[in-house]
Amino acid sequence: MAISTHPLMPSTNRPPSQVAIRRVANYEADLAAVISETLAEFRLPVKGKTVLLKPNLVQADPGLVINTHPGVIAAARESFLRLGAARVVIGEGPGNERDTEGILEAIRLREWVGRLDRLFVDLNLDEVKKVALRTRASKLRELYLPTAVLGADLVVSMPKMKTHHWAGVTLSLKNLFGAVPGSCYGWPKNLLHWVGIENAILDLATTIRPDFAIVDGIVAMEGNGPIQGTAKAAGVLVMGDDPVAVDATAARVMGLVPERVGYLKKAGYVLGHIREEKIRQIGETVEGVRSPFVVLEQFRELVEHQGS
Amino acid sequence: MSPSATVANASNANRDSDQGFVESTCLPFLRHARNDDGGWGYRPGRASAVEPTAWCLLALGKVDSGSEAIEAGRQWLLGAQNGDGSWPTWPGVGEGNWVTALAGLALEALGGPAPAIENAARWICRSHSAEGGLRLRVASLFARKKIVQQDFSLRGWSWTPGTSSWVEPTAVALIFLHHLPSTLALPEAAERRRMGEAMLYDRICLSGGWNLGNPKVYGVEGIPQLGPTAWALLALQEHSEREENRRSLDWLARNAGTMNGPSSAALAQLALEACGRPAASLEQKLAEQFQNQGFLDNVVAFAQAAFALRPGPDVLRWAKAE
Repeated sequence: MAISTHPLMPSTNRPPSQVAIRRVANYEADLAAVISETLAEFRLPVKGKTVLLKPNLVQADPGLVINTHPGVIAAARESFLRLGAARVVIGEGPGNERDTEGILEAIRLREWVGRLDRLFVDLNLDEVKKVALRTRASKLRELYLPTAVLGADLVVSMPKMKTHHWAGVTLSLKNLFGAVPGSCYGWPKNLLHWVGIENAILDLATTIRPDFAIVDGIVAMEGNGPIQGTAKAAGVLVMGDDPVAVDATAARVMGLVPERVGYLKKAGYVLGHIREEKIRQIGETVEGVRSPFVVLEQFRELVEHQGS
Repeated sequence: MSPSATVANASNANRDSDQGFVESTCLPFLRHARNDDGGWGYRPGRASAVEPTAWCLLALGKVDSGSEAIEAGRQWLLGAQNGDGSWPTWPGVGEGNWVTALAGLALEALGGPAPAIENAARWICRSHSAEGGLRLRVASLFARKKIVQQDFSLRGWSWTPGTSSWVEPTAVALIFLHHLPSTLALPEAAERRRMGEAMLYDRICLSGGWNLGNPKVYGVEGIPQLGPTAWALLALQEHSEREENRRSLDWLARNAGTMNGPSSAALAQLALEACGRPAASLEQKLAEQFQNQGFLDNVVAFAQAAFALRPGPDVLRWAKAE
């Protein structure tokens, strides 16, 4: 995909988006069937392409609450291969733990997808290229980004559905922090905090806009996320090719108002849709699966029926 | 066939001759992974970078001291040094950053050259993290609610210039400064070391041990991690009598086996040994991890494993163990 060429335009000029909500009770379900069927509905041009799956792997957590579940990663990989992808790699640059292999072993990803030494790219250590950012929400003008991300034909953001103690909520756009290399920016990627997390998310999202998003909300996290929160069985996968609309929909499922999440509101101006009337829902309705999340006190204003 | 797979085959063959994991696997991998320019990349065949080159020099320096490979690696490192004494992650990629202390440490382990070490030390002493700066102090004074509870007057070292202090870059900088030759007149080094140590103690987790450097966020205690804890204990090994060290060492000893990654295991072993705690043999565990994942072809992981397992002169260990 190299740098995104997705048009940055006011949402009024943008055609409506489509987001799929699939009810999935647990990780024993046939996840590959669920994801394959959804991908078919979006008619993504996958054949012969190199696909980079970008899960959210944060810390060694055998409890599988912090990180995207390995079953979802494996199912997405199988689904893209079924659709004719030439190559599907998994790439992540954890921000909270330098020992990436330790995380992979803790979540037992190898048992789901096989040996990882040819399949997984540590985005913290991959070679980089300097990239000019497409927006100037933050004072950053450019970033070094991994060649595995820049060289992929399709980037699929696969976050865990979680509350976040700095950003309010972490979904497919915030998940892009893992594409910023620790070798250049450290652990955590503190430069992104210094220029303002919300603005950094926007600059990253406009520059390496994911082509597809798959939010793992089967078992999600509420409260003091993204690491020390508690498990929340939301029982959904939220998917789509407009990552802004996917995140807005996931936020609504969480009982949050996307227009009150700073970076989503900004992304809604230029990158995708957050307004409900601009998002065509397929699968379940938001109301049918809404499951209000507990949030930290400082994010009470994000909750529906709070504030004006 | 991947480099680690090649080495795995050799490793299986070598087991018959009863070689250890380092000799049969790690060292051949590292020697094979060296680039023609003398440096090492993060993975074999990738562009030479400062961190893997520094770790390879530390590890191979224990066994191949004086070899052509070590000398070529040293020359590559010297060629990658910026004019201001710092190192970037890769030559030509951005400004100098956290890898400077590690590169300097590798040169210290190899015995120089002194001017390069001195330039690195001067850069490190000039490199200030954001704590103590106006922005953080004002923000801290006027914050409605404390987000993180730490002493903003204490400065350690950051990953990138001008951002916050974190445990690992501070610890590596302290270790590097500890080894500076006494002949080097750098008066500010003593104060930076004092401040850096104080910053580490300020960032300790309640249970003992360290995480990346935010021990409490919104009043919630952070969870220690193996890597940062090992680095901090190595940097503070002269203070083994302090209660914080003992508590952290206890935490590390209890948790060293809980992370199945080679880097964490190797760093934990190094810290436990440096602090005089008998550690369970790491070799078998690392060999198993290698069989599972081939260390993901991560050159730094191979070098850390070799450095931890191979006896020899060790720049990470200098205090008398308890």
